[in-house]
Amino acid sequence: MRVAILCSGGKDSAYAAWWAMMQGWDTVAIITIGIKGNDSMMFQIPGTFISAFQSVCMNVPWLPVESSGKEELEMLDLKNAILGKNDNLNAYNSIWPEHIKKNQNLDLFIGKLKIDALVTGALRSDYQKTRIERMCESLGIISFSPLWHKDPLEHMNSLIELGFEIKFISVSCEGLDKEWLGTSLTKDNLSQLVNLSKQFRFNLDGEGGEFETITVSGPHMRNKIKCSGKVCFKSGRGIWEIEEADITQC
Amino acid sequence: MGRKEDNIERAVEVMRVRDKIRNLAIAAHIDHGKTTLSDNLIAGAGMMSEDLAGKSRVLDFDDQESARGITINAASASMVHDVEGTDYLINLIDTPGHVDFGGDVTRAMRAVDGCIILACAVEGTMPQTETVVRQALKEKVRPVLFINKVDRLINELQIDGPEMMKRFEKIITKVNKLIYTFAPAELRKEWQVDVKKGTVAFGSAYYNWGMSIPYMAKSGINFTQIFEYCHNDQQKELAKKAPVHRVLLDMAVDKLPSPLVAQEYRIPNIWQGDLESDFAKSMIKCDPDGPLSLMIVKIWMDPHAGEVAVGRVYSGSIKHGESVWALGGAKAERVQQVSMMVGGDRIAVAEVSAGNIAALTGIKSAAAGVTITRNKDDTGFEPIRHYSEPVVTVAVEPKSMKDLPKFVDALRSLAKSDASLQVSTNAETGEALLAGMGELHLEITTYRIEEEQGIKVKVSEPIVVYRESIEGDNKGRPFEGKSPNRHNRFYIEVEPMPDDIIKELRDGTFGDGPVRTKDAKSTGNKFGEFGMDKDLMRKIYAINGTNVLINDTKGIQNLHETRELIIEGFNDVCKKGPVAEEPLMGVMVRLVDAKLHEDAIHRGPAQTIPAVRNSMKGALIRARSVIFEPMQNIRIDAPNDVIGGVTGELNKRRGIIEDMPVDGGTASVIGKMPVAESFGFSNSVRAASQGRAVWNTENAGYVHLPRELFNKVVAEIRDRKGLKSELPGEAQYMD
Repeated sequence: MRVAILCSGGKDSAYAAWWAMMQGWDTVAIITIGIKGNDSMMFQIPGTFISAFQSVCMNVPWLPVESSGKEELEMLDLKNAILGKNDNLNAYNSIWPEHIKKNQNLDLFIGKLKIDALVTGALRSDYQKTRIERMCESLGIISFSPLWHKDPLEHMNSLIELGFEIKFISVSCEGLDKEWLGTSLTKDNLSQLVNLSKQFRFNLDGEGGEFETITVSGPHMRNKIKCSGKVCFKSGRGIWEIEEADITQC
Repeated sequence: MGRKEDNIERAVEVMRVRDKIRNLAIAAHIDHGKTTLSDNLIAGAGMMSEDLAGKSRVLDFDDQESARGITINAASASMVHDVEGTDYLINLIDTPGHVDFGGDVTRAMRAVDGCIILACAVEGTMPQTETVVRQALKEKVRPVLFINKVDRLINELQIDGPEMMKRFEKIITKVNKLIYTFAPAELRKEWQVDVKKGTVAFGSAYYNWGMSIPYMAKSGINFTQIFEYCHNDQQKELAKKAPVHRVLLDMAVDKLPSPLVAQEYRIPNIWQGDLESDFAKSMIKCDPDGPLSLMIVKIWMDPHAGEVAVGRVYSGSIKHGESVWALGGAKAERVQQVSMMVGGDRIAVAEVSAGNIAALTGIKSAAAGVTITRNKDDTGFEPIRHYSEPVVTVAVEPKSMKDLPKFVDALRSLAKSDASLQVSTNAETGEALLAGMGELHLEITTYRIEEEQGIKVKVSEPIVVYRESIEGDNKGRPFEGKSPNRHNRFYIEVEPMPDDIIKELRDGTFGDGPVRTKDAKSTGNKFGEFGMDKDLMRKIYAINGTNVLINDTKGIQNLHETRELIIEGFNDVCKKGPVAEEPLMGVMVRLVDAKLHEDAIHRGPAQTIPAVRNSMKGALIRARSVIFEPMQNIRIDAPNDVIGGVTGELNKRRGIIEDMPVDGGTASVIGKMPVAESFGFSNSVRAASQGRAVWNTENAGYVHLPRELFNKVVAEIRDRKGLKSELPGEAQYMD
């Protein structure tokens, strides 16, 4: 089975990538959508370039896709990328943040993807899943979402237990303040998060866009990603702007 | 004592004869002699010594009430009265006349079918009388009138017969005008009080005598004789011939309805369920063998038995030991004891049946306004409406931290026993905030914590509760509020509600809380009756106090799914407005457009609620926020020579003088004063009048705070609440 992984750099897609590897499948590429606009109903925006470092750590080629974030165009951009209709080098240069050093070992994927399946980290969003399924159907491939309707607390716990290190890089919901930005998920602050999610009634796993994460190490990665950043928080929402990122040798 | 026990036995017998029961309240202004009159009635019926009546104040069983000389709580008493050989059971509920405890009056009115309006012959009708009468009439409680302190008219003011008649007429006309204005349309003619019809009595509760036209015919005493008795210092003899309890209880038996009669027309007015159901029919018929329906009107703390719930049985009978539901409670509870109330005494009985007032122990989840039934799915009485909103707050905390658990318990039971008191705790500082009807109300509440519960407390300076509102609107300029994830947007326009509708909202005409979709049409039509745009109001989502939320959007997908969350956001802002986090008042909020993420997971509570809040707060600022402050009606009576100092004191406190009638050597000042300026008023008036002024206040609603005070008041509130000193602008709510 040849698969590609749709990866935002966050916890769910990292889990999906690990899961695909554990199936013994051949992972052909890590696909990352880089949004140029301010907003997307479908994809994560901040910190998605981290997937490039993840692909290096996983020894898998990286396929960046540039998209405007316009609702009606996003899926088409993705479809064209899989069909090899995009200029991937151009997309790489366009979405890469200027202040971050590019990694020499990055293997940029060029050409048409020949895959049997697409693996995603979708959790409960019907909006995301139906769009991906529709696209996969039109390409004649299947889609896997290993985390679909997994219990949120179980999911968050398993991330910690399996050794994923995830950092909060954006918060946008009532109850989550700037203290969360840049911190890593641990057993301790998970229980705090559980309490907040009950008090303010948000999704514990961030599925409604409550927070976004990047994965800096995990059981499927040979190396760790180290990064530093600064907190920008304004009127109820904030991001951790990554200033430096690199792969540590180990 | 023997007579008392004998009476209890007779009372238990009459209890089941429903046309021989009268439930009544006495309603009046402070110091018009209500408790004195109640004692007379109880004494006359053999429940206490006749000599003590008028002096011992049985119903003031709170130590504090006796000390302060005013009645704090509505207590109840049952007594047997015999009319021409037939026993009648009179269940009397005493109500406080002091303005600070308006909540108790409302509750007492729900439990009774008739009321004696007590007016002082010297002072006439007073502001509080009007409030009380209005409360009675809204609950379809039939009034009769008793003019008290006639002895003072004759002996102190030396008034002759025709002059007395004139005075009475004045009082009667005023009361009838009130009845005409506030009684239900179909009853306002029938319920007019009239001396000739025997619905008016007069006398002196202190000297224990009373008189009415029917009683004159019966006893053969005429006006001239009354004057003679009074002039010759023979009121004691008059009291033997015409005891006030006999005159008034005869009037009650003869003119006020029994539960059997009253429940037929009162149940549709005070109960909100399906009137065709067996449950309703049993209440309408006052059936003692039907399903149990009892509404709690009052909770008080008994030092031995704990919480005692006093309520009216509308249907069925309540027996000791049986298991009942306090609607809204988590589980069925066992009635430990059923009793009748006689002043401070509770007399245990086996059961209390429909049409009567019962006192219960053992029901922990009972609170004033809660309905008790045998089946947890029965429909309760509609929530009791309050005619006065809390206007003053104090922060209270125990002096010693070891008292904290006891303090928390004390607050809990206070909140339960006094529905006009709002208790909230500040999670950060641990102090409790008590919001009440006035400075005195809160003074007494803290006194209770200290003396009755033995907890020493620290009390902050009283704080006025302001209201936020708007002076303009943002029609055509909706304010966009975004959810934190930016995927949901709400567009809101606000405008002030018309004053007359605010008044109706406050009276609970349209209900309160979320409006169920199936009820929206009828609620909208009701607004239509009051001159609002019917088609618009049919789209109503919720009412919160005097604010209304309307869904004025067209064809937005998924909006219905977020309905509850939109209402929550609206409620949040109604509780804490944008300017100073004070409650909102008199605003119509229209949701005019919305953009929602089509996936439910992206528009959960933590997204939708802040988005609605932002858009509503921004809209309020765009429509120019203003602050409203509570006012009180004030009436001060003082001798002519010191009245100048009193008016000066009033002027100093931004008071408005509306009228200054002079009556002989006494002048009165009638006007209004902001509550914010009223703290410490009693001391300064006492000083200004050499202690000779008598004054009364009553809440008079909210008025626009003068513009020049806006910044000062807002800055004070924000500072006190620990908010940023700079006022929020529109920009703060834009993203």
